[in-house]
Amino acid sequence: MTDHSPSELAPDDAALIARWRGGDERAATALVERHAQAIARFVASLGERDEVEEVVQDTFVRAFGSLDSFRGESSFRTWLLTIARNLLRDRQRGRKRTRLHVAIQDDDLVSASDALEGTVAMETEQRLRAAVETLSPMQRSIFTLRVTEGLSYKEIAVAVGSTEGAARVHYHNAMRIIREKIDE
Amino acid sequence: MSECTNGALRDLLPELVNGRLDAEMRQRVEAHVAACGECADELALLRSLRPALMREPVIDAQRIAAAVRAQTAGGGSRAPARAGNAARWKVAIAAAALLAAGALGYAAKVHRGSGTPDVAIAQPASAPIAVPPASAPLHATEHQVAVAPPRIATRAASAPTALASAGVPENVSDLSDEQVRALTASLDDLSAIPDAEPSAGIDPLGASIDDASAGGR
Repeated sequence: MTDHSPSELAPDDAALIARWRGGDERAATALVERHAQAIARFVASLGERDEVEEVVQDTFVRAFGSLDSFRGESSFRTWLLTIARNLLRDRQRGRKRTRLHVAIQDDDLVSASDALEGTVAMETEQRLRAAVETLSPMQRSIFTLRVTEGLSYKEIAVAVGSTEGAARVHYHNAMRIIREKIDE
Repeated sequence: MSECTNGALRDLLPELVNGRLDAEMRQRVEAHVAACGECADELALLRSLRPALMREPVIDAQRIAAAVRAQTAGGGSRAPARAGNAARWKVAIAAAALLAAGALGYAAKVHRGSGTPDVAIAQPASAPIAVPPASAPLHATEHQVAVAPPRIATRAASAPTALASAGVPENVSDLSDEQVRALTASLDDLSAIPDAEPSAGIDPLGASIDDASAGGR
């Protein structure tokens, strides 16, 4: 059905990991550049705003420091997502405050001048993003992984610490909510 | 608009948008979309949403790569070894043993006062509790704590004396600052890294999402 099984490690990732294990630091750079943006999107979808880069960086540092435990049973990206989620949870616990549901900030909204200067496409994009922001953190993270990465429910379940069934329900609820928001 | 009657194909729309379908499946989904207004609308929405979501957040991947390189200098061949399960268990056991030692010390003091032996911990000679001395600082990922779980005995023994001779304070409060810092650092190190790739539905930190919670907002 799909081009690649979630249980298989993409050949390029496997080769880069092997090179890094052999001491090639450039392989680490390539892995970071390949996956950093996806990890950042996931981190942001979980409500982190101010320290996305720091969380992404910590994720890779932790990952490279524990590559011995990575057996390639899930994709490298899914494994990174799992580490990022755990790191984020630890940070949020440390702050002793919940930042999971981030209110839409002023600069996320279309200002009058933006609307005048922007194109219709930009306005549409802002509306879409605003609709996504109304989702719960779990709905938003699952929806983002599904739409931007095309991850299967099984991969998403691993990444967010849930089940395939729950991931499916969250995705469809998210889609319903977004359609309702856009139709308003 | 007619409602979609093929949920399985509709469920593949995100894969279609992300180019994750093989040729045969892609044709099947596209044929379905051509005949299903609801899926056509959803596909259009997904194609609008994806670029909008892809653009944020803006990060500097090269800067992150440089920072990661700096922190993992030397590559995989010299990368810091992970503590691993064995070390984690050792730390957990060490914590339990120290707590038990503290309780034992308290019990011993009470016992000295009452003269009635109740419970004591008999430490096997072959597996002594050994906490690194303060002069040997620990790294968070290089735990040198070697312990064996204490056993409960039914009669009083010279356990406090035995523990003291093994270098373990009778009370947790008697630990040196360095020992407390080492233990705390060890416990802090237990977070974030999954032992391995987790199975679907199993939260490595034990906080799985209940299916029942997925029923909408």
